[in-house]
Amino acid sequence: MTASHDEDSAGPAPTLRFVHCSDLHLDAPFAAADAAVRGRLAEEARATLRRLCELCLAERPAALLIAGDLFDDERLSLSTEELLVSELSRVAQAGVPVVLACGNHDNAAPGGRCSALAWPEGVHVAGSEPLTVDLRDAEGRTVGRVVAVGHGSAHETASRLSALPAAEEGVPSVVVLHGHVQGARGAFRHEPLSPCGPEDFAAAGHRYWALGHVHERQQVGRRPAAHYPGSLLARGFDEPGARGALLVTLPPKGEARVEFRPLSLLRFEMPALPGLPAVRDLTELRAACMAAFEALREQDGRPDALWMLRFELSGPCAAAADCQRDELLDELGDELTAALSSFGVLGVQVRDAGVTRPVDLAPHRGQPHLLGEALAVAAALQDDAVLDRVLPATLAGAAPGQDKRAYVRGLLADIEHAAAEALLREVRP
Amino acid sequence: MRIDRLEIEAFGQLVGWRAENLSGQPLLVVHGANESGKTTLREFLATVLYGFSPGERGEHPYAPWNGEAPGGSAVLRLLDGSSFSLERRLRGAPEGRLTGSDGVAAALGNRPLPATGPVGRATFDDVHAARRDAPDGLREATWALVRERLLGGTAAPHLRSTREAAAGLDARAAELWQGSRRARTRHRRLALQTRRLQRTRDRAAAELRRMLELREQMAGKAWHLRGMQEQLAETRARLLRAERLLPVLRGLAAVEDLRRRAAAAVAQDDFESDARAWLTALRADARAAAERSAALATEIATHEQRTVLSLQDQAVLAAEDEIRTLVGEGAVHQQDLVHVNDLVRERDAQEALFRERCSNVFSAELDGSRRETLARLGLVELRARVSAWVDASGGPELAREELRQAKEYVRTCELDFEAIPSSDAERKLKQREETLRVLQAREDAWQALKKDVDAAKAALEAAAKRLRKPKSSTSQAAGLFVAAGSTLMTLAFGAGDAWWFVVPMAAGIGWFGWRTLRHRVETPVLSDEARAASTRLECLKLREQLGLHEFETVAGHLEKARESLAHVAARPELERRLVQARQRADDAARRVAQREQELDKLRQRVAETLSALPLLESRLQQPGQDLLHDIEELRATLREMTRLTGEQQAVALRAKEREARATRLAERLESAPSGRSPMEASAIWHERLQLALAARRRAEESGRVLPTLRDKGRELEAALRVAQESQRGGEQRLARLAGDGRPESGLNVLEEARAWRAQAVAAEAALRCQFPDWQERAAEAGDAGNRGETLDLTSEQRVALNDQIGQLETGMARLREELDALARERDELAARRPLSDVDGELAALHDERRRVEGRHDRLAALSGLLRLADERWRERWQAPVLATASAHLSTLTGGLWERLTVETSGGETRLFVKRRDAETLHALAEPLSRALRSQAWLALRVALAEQLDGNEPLPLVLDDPCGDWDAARVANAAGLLAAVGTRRQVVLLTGQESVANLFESQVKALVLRLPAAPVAPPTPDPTAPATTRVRRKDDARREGSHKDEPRPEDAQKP
Repeated sequence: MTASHDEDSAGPAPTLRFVHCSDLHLDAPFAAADAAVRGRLAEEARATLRRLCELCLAERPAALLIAGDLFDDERLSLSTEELLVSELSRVAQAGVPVVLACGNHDNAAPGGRCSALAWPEGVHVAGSEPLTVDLRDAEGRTVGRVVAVGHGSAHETASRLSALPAAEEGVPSVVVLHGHVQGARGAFRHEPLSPCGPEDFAAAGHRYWALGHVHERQQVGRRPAAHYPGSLLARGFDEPGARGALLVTLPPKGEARVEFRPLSLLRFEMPALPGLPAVRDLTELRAACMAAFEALREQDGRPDALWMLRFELSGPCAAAADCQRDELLDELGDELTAALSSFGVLGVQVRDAGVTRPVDLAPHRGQPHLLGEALAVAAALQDDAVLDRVLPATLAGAAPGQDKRAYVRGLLADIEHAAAEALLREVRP
Repeated sequence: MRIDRLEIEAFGQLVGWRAENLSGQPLLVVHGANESGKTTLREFLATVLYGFSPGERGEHPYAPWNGEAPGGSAVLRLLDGSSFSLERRLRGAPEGRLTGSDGVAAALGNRPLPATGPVGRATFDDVHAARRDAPDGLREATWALVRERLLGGTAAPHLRSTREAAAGLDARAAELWQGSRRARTRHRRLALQTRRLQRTRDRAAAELRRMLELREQMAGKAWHLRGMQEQLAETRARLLRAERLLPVLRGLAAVEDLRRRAAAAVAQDDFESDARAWLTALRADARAAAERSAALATEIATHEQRTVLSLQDQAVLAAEDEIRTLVGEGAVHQQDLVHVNDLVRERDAQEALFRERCSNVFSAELDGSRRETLARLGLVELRARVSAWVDASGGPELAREELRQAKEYVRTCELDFEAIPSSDAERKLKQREETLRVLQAREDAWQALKKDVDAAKAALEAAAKRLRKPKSSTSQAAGLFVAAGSTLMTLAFGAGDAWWFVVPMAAGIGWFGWRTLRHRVETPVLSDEARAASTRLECLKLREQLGLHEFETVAGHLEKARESLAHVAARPELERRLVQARQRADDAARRVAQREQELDKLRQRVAETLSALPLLESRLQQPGQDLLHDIEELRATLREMTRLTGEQQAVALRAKEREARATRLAERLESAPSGRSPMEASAIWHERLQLALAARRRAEESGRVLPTLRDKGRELEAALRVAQESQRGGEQRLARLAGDGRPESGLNVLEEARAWRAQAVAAEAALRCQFPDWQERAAEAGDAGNRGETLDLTSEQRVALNDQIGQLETGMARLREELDALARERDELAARRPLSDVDGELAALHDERRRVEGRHDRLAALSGLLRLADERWRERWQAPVLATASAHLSTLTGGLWERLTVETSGGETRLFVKRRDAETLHALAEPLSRALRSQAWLALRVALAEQLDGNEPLPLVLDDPCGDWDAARVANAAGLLAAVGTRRQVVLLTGQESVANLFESQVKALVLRLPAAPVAPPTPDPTAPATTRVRRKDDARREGSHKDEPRPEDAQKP
């Protein structure tokens, strides 16, 4: 399918600039217990969409390429839908075509929201069939071509690369795809839908692969360039760091220049607490948390940022007895939220992730007593035979079919200190 | 080392007991009734190996009653086949002599036999030869030895036991998650929350779907509404067409009719001579044309007036959108006003509650800044300080209690110390104790002698009966002595010459009397009686010396004397204890002051935390969590008030904004209805808007009609000019047309024809005037006729069309209402909680559940790790001895109990056993049965003995271990002990005949039977004759049944 095509374009292709983003997940849920915080986060998602459109209006790129998961199909509210249509309409009316390759969350299944949505003119939506859009400059010359292919259902496990048209000589072409590159950072968190890889990128002759689906920003191919811009908005604490879109400049020859433009003010961060072993009570813990946040703010340097913070307490700590009490940690989180709210902090969680009393394990290792044996067993847990004897008969958190060994190994961080804490009557630091 | 021969000369109640050829038997069973000497035999074996304990004859518990020195001998055979003899005896001091097979003897004293190796007396008593009254448990010293030598010192005192640690972890894990659906775990609570929220989620999803449906339905109804609007317009157009075209058609028909009549009256219109009539007609035409022109001008003026809208209508129309918006928000505005009132009331209630709670906590009301301070108060710090204050509140009282106890203890020590006798009294006490001890020994000897005398008398009487001897030889001897004396007396009465005869005679008689006296039967009795009487006399003297009554027991006084002496000996200890007690009292007093200072300091810290608030002094008098609770409630109330105020302000602000908009609109329209708020006047504005819309429609209609009317006016003016010209020309022509020269004749005819023509023209002109577009209408009517449309509608047809219009209007109104209802429902749904928000909360719950699951699994895995470590630790460190013990236990219990483990916790060593069909360990204590416990301890002792021995395995002496065992387990024990007996000598002491028989029959054990305990002697018959003590061999042999059993006469040896 070709949306438009310029038959009489001639001469060398000029530089192609476009904005590449993905995975905004409008109206996707934010895992937060506080309703006010959830409302604020949802509003920030809508504000991020507005900032994306403002970026396009300011930079006037040749196109806005959205590599899927613009919204969550089943949860998209009517008001957000209206906002989405009006904002994209604003961009399209300004002469910036919008190309959306449907993802698994906003797939183009018949009867789905994406299919039923009244997309404004100038917004090109690619379902499971490839869509080709020619990009033109003000004089009407073709400056590039966008080939997009999306998802026709929520579980497109097959590759759609074979259906993509080959690149045309002299026309820089860009592929927009919501796909899963095996081996990409953070790819394990996502379903392996529409799989692709660097060998596929080189085969079709396209200059740039605008990918989506994996939420971590990264380059997964060099020649041709293939980038994940990361999610446009962080969804949780497993997506730390700044979030935004890529402003890509594709010269007639040579490599693409990719510039990251942060758009989201929201940051999910889990600051480290290096001074935790020396913390003696909750007052000092509160001070340590505030100091860690201050260091994080100084690193980021953005005064209007919105913060969701989680402090995970692990390892030895002199105040371990208090740090193992959830109710105290919840109260501390509330107090930190109140104290840091003026700095844009929306919520603070303080969690016990295996904090233990400080114990020097060296004197106990190899000793002919139970703790020495327990430390030896803990050191041998990489051995499957040993781990199988440790595995509980019933696991509460292992999903059916999940590798129980891997699951339990993930839980046994710092298990030596935990074993020492359980066995020692009186801990001598 | 095996015992080959035993000979007990005197040891407790065993006297002259002997057994031989024992080393060849793997298992010896010594059977005897109660008090037959089984335990005494166990003690003798221990004494043979380790010497006498205690080493003083007077204190040895197994010193024979007859005062004989305890002692005996044994022949022992070593592993290399050599043997030696060992004799031990306790006279003044313990004696021991070791004689080798080569006959070389060596003094051993009271030292242990060298072959016992590393096993000390205490260990032997605890492990190899445990007493029957202590089957459960080993003494801590033995445990220490076992730990040191066998368990490798694994019982680290700073560690919890695996069972304790794992139980703690399991309990924590069970609080988080359990497989049972009925368990009240944190995970279960989260699951219930999730389930409740899932229902909310389903409702939100259904609402979103409903909103999408509503959007679809609204689009469909809007489309339907547009169709009905088109149909209504068409129907109305048809009626309008009929009304518009029918007059034209009728007018044209009338004109045509007039023309036909004129043509019929005057065939040719060449009667121009009838000018008068024609002129008259022309003049009438001219007048009619003028009238029509004037009427048209009036109509044009009316339409022109309609095209101009009033200023108010213009203003209303300009504000159409705002009026519609305000009318639409009217209902929401009323709800907001009600909501604001509710919020104000609720906030006032919270304020009252806050003030009431403040009065309980603070001395003054809190102003804004103090409320801010309260809201920003650090609760964690306050909680910590209050908790510390509460925790420390009991400290002074405890310290005071400790001080009181210390003072009482000081008083007790002082009393004890004051009760110590002086040195003079101590010396007297020692003398008294010595005298009492001598008295005790004398009375014991007297009792023994008395007993022997009684027994001898009984035997004497029996013997006298049997031998029929005279009752007393003493009287015979006395007679002989008297005869001898009488014979000698004869010398004094004159028989001096016959001295050579008398003296030998008297000597012979005396010798005979002496012989009679010497061979009397009752001699021993009399001797013992004399000794007894002497001893008794001595005892009475001693009692008198000690001030004791004849019937008072000496043992009690001796015990008291010893206690008093022990009390004197404890003088340094009591003095040291008194000093320590006083020191403790001083320390306790210092601690009281210190605790009070600490408590005061903690109270000051709490007061410092709340210093910015006017806290009631009374709240700091008594520590308690209620202060923290009150402050938390106050903070919660304050937060609720803040929330209510914010919400009230937000709603009020929205209402105010609407009011402001309405006010601005009213100001712009300059027509605010008096006595009503701008929002309430919105309905009036809505009516005015409808009127203005109607005026605008009329103006638009007039604007469309005006050009046509103006064209028609110009046409009428032209017609008027033509009519006037025709009038002048007609008069001339009529004058010419008159045949008789008088135009009136033809004029009458022509007038009539011309009148008709004039009427036709007038009708046509009128038609044109009335319907300027008559030609189009005529054409349109023609088209309608071509389509078959009937323009000349009947009344029924008109009614039907009007009904159709009414139905369409009704349907449209209904559709609009439905659309409004759908829009309201959509707006209501849009105002509810969105699905993504519910999913967010669900996701948070899900995260929490995953976290709880992970923590549970981590704890469970840690518990498993500890259990595995424990298992490995036991395999590595406890294997040799406990594995052996476990095997023995399995043998004893027929495999039902398969494992035996040891744990040391808190300085106490405990034994655990494991059933074959269970995973958990059971502490070896109640409710496990006593038999099982004794079997486990027997298994452990056998294993320990095998591990503890040196080069020579020591005999295992088991004192009636199978007391309450069933037959199967006794049989198992027989098999086990027979096997053990191949490696070491096993001596089983039992009081049960069945056990002895089972061992004898099953494992061919050698059974030695001890004689029954001596029964109480019968009361001596004072009338019976005294006889000598004689016992026949046959009687004694009847009491023993085994060839190796000591002979009765040996047992009766003094």
